[in-house]
Amino acid sequence: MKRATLDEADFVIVGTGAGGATAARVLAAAGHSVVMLEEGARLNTSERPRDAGGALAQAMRDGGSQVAFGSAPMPLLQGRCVGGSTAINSGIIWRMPDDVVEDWTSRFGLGHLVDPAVTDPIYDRIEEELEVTPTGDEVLGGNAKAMARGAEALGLPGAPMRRNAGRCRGSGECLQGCPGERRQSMDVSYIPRALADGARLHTHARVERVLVERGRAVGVRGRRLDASTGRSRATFEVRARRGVVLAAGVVHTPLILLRSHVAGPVGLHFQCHPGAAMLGRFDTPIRMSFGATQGYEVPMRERGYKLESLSLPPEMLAARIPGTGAEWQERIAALDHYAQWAAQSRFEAQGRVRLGFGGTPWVNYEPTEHDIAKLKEGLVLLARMMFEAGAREVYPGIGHVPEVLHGPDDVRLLEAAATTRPDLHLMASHLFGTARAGVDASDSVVGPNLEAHGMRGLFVMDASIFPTNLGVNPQHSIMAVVWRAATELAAEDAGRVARAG
Amino acid sequence: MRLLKMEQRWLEAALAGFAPEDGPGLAPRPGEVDWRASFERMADSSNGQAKVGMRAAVWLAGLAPMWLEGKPHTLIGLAPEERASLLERLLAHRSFAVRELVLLLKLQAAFALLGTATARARSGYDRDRPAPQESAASLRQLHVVSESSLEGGRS
Ligand SMILES: Cc1cc2nc3c(=O)[nH]c(=O)nc-3n(C[C@H](O)[C@H](O)[C@H](O)COP(=O)(O)OP(=O)(O)OC[C@H]3O[C@@H](n4cnc5c(N)ncnc54)[C@H](O)[C@@H]3O)c2cc1C
Repeated sequence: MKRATLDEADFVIVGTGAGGATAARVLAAAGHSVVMLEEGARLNTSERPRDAGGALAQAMRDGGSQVAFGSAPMPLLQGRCVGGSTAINSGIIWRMPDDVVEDWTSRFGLGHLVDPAVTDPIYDRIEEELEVTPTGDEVLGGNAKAMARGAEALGLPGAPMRRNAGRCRGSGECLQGCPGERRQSMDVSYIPRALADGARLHTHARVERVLVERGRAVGVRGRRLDASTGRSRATFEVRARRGVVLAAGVVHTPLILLRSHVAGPVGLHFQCHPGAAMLGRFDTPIRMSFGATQGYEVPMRERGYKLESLSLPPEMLAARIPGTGAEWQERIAALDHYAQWAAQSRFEAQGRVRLGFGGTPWVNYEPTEHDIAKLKEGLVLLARMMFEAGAREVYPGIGHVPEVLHGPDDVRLLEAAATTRPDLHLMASHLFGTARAGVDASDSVVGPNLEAHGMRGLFVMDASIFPTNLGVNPQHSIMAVVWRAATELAAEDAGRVARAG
Repeated sequence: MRLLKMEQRWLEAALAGFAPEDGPGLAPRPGEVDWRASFERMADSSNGQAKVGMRAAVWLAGLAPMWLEGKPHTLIGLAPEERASLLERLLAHRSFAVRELVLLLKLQAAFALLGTATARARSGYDRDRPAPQESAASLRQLHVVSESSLEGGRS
């Protein structure tokens, strides 16, 4: 195979999701030359399929089939395209909660990285640039409005979500790519901005390892993939004059670190916010097809979970409706009558990402009993809210519980069931850890400036560096932490160059 | 993923078993849904482990009349309504693995059926969808220096 030096720059950034794109935006704006390498494709909105099957196949890693193994497999959803997971996410925005800031400061010595005096203006700036606003009533849609009714009836602290989609028209197609490019995912915001500031972007470029000379990261090596078959075509190298920034996400960043023999607890401390969803059938139409994909939330932070409205494309919705044959067919002939809401929980369990067969990731993860009990509490609450909102039937989708609950009294059956891990259909799209930051080099992979303890010039700038999960949607925290570290890196580097000159 | 002829027939019998053509409600019209194409597209984008699971699910369902009911034939030998009730039993099976694999088939059936525009139109999902609906537009064309179809920069 041919090996070409594809490019060279001050900074090489691997991955173009929340972390990588933010790093590119900051470093390029500071006048550094930047090259972005992305394994997936650039997806022009007009060419993105509108059906769920096409959307998953095109933009999600392994079409959504990657799982964590434990007593039951759990899908780990991640984007694999320019923009990373932000190109398929719902745009929900939350700042890092105060208790997380305190925990990171006291346990991991990361006060410098997450100090609100510094990060608050960064959050403000990102919110302005990415058009963050609360979801307007006119685009909440029936699914979110039904949830609001349920929450109000039970006196729960619900509210419309804040999202980076200020001009949302309620197309409900966040997963397929916002039709009017109103959601400010990285592919339509920070990446174009970095390109305008002179950064360069190479797609279909899968990075495998970091190039090291005299203990310093000087570039990366990887494989170029054929755009239509996905097969490897040739190897390549990209040289970095000042630093390599890994931002390939929580599952893939550790693989690159492991192949590059970077020291520390690489791949350990994998954490996430697993979630499960519940459906309700209503007599009056809900019309899930209109409204923000996710518009309303009930944060139950002190209980360890968060409830969210979650609209789905019809293929995914139908798959969750009970029955086969005539029973199923009758139910799916009225797809405009369903609401779906989900509970996501801040699990305490930690797992591990390893290099598996053929260099692919192997993830182990087993929730604790306490985790399951916590999520179950959220699901019980969802069922109650559904009936309060007027549902005629609720489909819990939980093993050893009736497929259909017919009224509020039936919720007791759900409450009383001895639910274990295999009874739940969990999924996780908020992933953390695997290259965690901290001051203690024996217990973390990168320091508070996000440079690897064990390798000069190598930085990790994505959700892998999070030493804990958050209990809230993570993209804003990822962007802010990366912004902070990249700003310092840009300034330090400029200082170093000036001193050398 | 290439399925053997026999696997293809089991697959079609299983997926169509979830939504038989002569059923009530949202029933596919004859020849309307390409069950196999939808399955193959999903398999092609899946990783190796998922492909193994998808193939195992086809075998499990295809041979279910034998191992579950002791009958001397495969799923193809059952009438459509019998297939539906067999699939229902499999979805409620005491083995977690059996339930999950058959759920995977149900997911495929839903993707094939509702991924067919004409069937989707009859599902009511888009009923009264308020205007205006935006057509997908690429407002910002990203300048990509190289895609894999282009050769790399300097050798
Ligand atoms: C369906 C879904 C919905 C979500 N909704 C929300 C939400 O509403 N709000 C919120 O806050 N969070 C949400 N999230 C989570 C959020 O999007 C992620 O936490 C965040 O994008 C993670 O950022 P990251 O930079 O760590 O990784 P990613 O954004 O996943 O980016 C990683 C990038 O690296 C690329 N890559 C991987 N390996 C390589 C390699 N070897 N070489 C080159 N490139 C590589 C990938 O293709 C990808 O583009 C959602 C996630 C999903 C999947």
